[in-house]
Amino acid sequence: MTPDRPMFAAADRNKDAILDVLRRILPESGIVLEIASGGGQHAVHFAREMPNLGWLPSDTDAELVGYLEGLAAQSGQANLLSPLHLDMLDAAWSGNVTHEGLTAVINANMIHISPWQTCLNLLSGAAELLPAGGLVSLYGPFVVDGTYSSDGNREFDISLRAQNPDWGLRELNTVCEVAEAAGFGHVETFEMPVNNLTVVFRRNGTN
Amino acid sequence: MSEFPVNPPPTSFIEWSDEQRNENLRDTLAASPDPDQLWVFGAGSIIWDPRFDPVETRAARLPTHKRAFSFWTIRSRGSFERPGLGLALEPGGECVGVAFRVPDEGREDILDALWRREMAGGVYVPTWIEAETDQGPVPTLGFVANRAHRNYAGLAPLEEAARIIAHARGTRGTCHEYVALLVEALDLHDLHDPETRELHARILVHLEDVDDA
Repeated sequence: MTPDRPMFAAADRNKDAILDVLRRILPESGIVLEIASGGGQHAVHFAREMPNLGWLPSDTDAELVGYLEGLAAQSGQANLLSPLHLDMLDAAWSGNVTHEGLTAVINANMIHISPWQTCLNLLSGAAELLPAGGLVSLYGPFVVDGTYSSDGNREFDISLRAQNPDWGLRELNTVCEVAEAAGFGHVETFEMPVNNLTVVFRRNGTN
Repeated sequence: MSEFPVNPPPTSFIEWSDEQRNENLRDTLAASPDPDQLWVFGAGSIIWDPRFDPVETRAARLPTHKRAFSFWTIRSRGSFERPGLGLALEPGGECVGVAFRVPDEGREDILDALWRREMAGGVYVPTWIEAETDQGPVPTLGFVANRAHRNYAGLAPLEEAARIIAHARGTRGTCHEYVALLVEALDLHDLHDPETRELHARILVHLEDVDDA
């Protein structure tokens, strides 16, 4: 039985703004791994709009992975790949990715709605999987230099921490430091609608 | 240059890598006309916050460059929604400021910190400029606007600059606070810059229209 379409309203609202950034940064070919694909709106949309790239969705929720599997089959998009069950709380998650030609790891709206460890693991795992020049893109609300960019972000942070003390908006500088320690350099941070950012890192080194 | 802005306020920010920044520092030092004496020319926040103990401090005048708020700041003194204007040196005119002589001891750390502060995003071209002082000319390191940078805004008419600065706020505070600190610092060193004073006066008028100034 195919589960009903899960609701991730934000993913519908922000998908075109994120697509604009991805068009600017992604190479012509390769496979893009999405972490925490949720309802798959991004993967389906990006696969349709950027058909030269392979799009590999994933989620930690087994039910959602089943839903994404059905979505990929129904879409008729050959470049929308069969989803993976990946848990960012598992430091060894990258061992479950065996695809060749990975060029980027993208994520939207996860690192503030999950323990900080998921951000650390996402970056360390991406560093293992990506070649030099490979990209990581993180979308969401951030605290920048200890400052909220809007009252809305401040209230959102407070409500997240009240729900779970391990959640909360992350400091951009800290995320950049962690990325650098994992072997990435900061490339660019983009303004996104409603006070969100997309921060892009590039894997250091030469192939 | 009549056109303003040369570039619209940027919608993303780029940071230089450690390698880029270190290479720029090395190249700048290699071009020094007199490696035995290293002076930094303070035109803006360096005047009131040099972040090192100078061996010597002198009032100084650049006969070749002027003070101008000519690049977009979208992080420290402005944001994407409320971009501000940052201070740089521009060719032409003159600039009164303060020259600080950097000590030999700890010089490497001082310069590393200075480059992290001023050159994080490469909006300047660090340039050796001869400054006049009461004790004679000294070669100073000045931070000249990088016109090739996409944050480069160009020379705004004073009134336009005042309006932008009055509305801008970033992670370090408001943009107009920076200008107020500059005016204060210039007064403290008995330096006379009528244009900066005029800019400040015009900002104060605009601030009456700003809700959360």
